[in-house]
Amino acid sequence: MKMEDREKLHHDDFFDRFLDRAVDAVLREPPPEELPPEQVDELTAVVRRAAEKPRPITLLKRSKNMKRIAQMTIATTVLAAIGIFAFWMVSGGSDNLAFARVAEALDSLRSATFDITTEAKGENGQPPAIATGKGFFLAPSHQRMEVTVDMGYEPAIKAAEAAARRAKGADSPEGKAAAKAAAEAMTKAVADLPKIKFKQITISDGQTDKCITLTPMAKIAKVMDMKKMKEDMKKAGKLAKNAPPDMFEMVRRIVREGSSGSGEKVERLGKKEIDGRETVGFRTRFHGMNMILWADPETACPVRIESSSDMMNGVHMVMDNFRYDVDLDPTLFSLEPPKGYSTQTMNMKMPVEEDLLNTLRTIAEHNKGKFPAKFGMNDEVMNALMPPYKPVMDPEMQAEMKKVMEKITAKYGGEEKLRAKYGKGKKLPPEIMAEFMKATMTLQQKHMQKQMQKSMKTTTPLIRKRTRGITFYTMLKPENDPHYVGGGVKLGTPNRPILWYKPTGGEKYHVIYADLSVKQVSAEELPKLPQAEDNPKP
Amino acid sequence: MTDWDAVVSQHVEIVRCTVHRIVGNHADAWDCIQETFLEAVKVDRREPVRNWPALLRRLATVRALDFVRARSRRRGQNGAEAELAQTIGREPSPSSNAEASELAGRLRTAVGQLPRRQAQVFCLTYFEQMPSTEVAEQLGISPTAARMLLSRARQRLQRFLEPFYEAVSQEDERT
Repeated sequence: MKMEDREKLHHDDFFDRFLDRAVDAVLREPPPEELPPEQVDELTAVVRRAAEKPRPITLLKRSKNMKRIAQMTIATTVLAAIGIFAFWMVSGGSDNLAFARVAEALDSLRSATFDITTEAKGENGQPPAIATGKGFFLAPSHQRMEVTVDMGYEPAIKAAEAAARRAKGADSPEGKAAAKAAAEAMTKAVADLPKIKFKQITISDGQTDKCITLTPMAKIAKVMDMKKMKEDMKKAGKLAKNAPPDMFEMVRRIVREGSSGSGEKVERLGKKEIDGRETVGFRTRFHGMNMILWADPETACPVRIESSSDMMNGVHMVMDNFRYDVDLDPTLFSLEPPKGYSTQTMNMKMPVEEDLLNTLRTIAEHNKGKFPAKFGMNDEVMNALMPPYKPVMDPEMQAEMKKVMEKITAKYGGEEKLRAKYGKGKKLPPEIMAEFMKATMTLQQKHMQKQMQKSMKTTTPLIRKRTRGITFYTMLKPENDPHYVGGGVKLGTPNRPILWYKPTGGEKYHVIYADLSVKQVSAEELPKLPQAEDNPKP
Repeated sequence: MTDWDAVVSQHVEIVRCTVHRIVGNHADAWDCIQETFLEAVKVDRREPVRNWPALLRRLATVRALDFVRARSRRRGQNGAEAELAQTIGREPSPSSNAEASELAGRLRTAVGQLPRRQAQVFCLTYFEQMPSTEVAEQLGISPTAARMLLSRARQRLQRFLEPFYEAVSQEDERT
């Protein structure tokens, strides 16, 4: 052993002994004087007051629920918007005459309405989330999508159940019985409350490149101008040459010119009876969208469209109950914010590579330092990107809440009596507990608009900023050859590629590493990772 | 619903001792104790608490360390380092009690200089005598990460305390 090594060992040994002595000195210190009983009482009172303080927004504070609602509305809007146009664009050539007829039929339609149902399978033991909605189309380029997600009272019921279980012991038979009783009492209490539905309306005009999103519950209108984004896309070569001004015109052009479109091969699915009508089916894929279209063989109009996207894992959407050439009120497609709505104006810009890096960083930082298994609009990514919902309880609501609580307490003989009967050791019966919770929820519903307005003011710009990277990735075309291979990789790992793509018009690939550095390499120098074969972006 | 009267009365001593080990005899220890229980109310609302003593020791450690670090910030980084240098520079006291107390004080000041996570792992391991698996569970990290943080904390402490323990070791060798 070298002299320095021996000295180091000796040195470390001294430090170990010194540390042991120092820790021992801390542990052996005489304990502090006991807290006087009145100080313990004061502490207990402070803690009790904090614990008894009504929880703000029981229904909404569960940010997971809000994240899921946001995910569902975004997924439905995107799937519906892409879905309805995409199959028009994959109009068949001579070998797909039947499919081409569908496109022709749509080319001549004046207006249409349809129903939308989106289902996202539950992750981590959650039940599936369902969004329903209605779509409206008015030629030449107006579209309106109304998406509704039933917020339900499940979080409140679960909260009552969990509180009762905790009070009696999590795994004990008493705990289980108490949880069951609390859930039943809560279900009964909320049965007569009006259903809370989160609704979002998106109206767009493909010719003016304008879009407005309305949230009636919060009375918020988000006005988006896509012109700048389109110009940027044109500059960056992302917009096709001689590009049609909007999706509808593109569809028409494709159909008129008898082009075969940019989609993959259309597969015939044969005949099927839907709602008592005979239909013929086609399956196709377009930019990562899987679509099944069932059309009426007589009119060639779609009867049912089923779609899912590789980017939105586990989300499945159905559009049906199509009605064609119906009279629609043009005001349905107004791009002006309705009266009484507060307006947020957004100038949409084309996302750039830096946005992708920022989004990847945000996801990893909110995902225990690791990159997600899949990069798209899935639960793991959305949970990381959506900021926690922090409702702000205003003084008016707080005062009202206090009054309501006092009223219920008085009904049972006052606080003293309730505490004497059920306090310390004993608990409120589930019926009384449910009554308190129901009163809280009724108040929350009354004040929901104000609460949501306050919350959305700060969260909306943040969500938009954080999701720009996903938009960037979604906009990459197959010729950009994008691959995501970052699943489970720790942020900051040096020399570990997580994503690569070839910029439009560029000769070299951009490889993004886990420390979010970017290198430009030729196709031959691309990383050889087995995951890359499994995770090519659609 | 949690019986907070019982939680406070049964565990206030644990919290008090944990805070004391990090903060020492300081008037502000009372604030740390209160904040620990208020934080526990929030945790209890989020999820059922399975192990009250472990949770409260973790919360008290975090609160107390935050307090020590805030105190250092108020004094300024130079002030904290000067305090450490001053305690290190002092001659060991002849009385063994006073010496132990000084040793404890020096360790506390040095722990307050550690990065947040390292200090938490160090205090839970050495002061609260938690096994690395429990430390990891309480801090929501892997046991490997906990061991790594502890090793880094020890390395830093060795650097901070080097002048002092060298003096002590020379003294020991002489005696």
